[in-house]
Amino acid sequence: MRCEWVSENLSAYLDGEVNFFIRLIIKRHLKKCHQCARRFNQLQRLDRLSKLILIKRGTPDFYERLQERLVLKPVKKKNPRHWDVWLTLPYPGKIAIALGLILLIFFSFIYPRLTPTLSINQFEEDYLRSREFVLWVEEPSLPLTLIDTSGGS
Amino acid sequence: MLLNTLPEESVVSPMQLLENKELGQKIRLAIDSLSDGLKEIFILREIEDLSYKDLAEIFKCPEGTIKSRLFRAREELRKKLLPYLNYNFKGVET
Repeated sequence: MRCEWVSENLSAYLDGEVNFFIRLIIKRHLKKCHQCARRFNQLQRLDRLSKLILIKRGTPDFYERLQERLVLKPVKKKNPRHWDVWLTLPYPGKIAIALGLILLIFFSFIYPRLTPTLSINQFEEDYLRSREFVLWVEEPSLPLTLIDTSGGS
Repeated sequence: MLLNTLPEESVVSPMQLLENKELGQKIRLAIDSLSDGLKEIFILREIEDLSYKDLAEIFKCPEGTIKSRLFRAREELRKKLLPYLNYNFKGVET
């Protein structure tokens, strides 16, 4: 079982495309298992030789043919849905958007109903009433201060 | 005289040259015999040294598919070239 799994992952291990733990497992296994180590050596040699040959000789029209094939290959274009965009967002982003919406709704509809609206007419009335009250209080106080209550000459 | 001054490893005998040339041809034939899907990925990986992620983007398929295709390509080549992979070859001629 272990040998089968290792041999399936040897190619990726050779390319350095396995994670740290898999690399560690395979490395340990190769030290113990001669059969897998031999297979790995063969793959390494094959890799070196094929690189040498492909680079030395080149591959005539390879890129042109590849491009043609990739163009011919139908590309499945997915229309992104709004829900997909929402799902791809990280949690802090989702929380920030939700909080923003809640605050927007609160300050647009609920907060104005909770606090009394400021009317300029009401303010004017209140102000004048308060002024009248002050004048009414101040008016009798003036003659009182002029009256001499000491009884002196 | 000149041959004696060269290190032993760099001297390739005519027999070895012939064997290496044959090996080069065998490898080329083996690579050519791969199916298009495997060959393209294998060649791009070998020549361009592209990562699995880059290959997945080019071929518009998951990285797991790239991994399994490269594994299949290498296994196919390994089985075909098995008699040649157990020896050390010097200066492979193509």
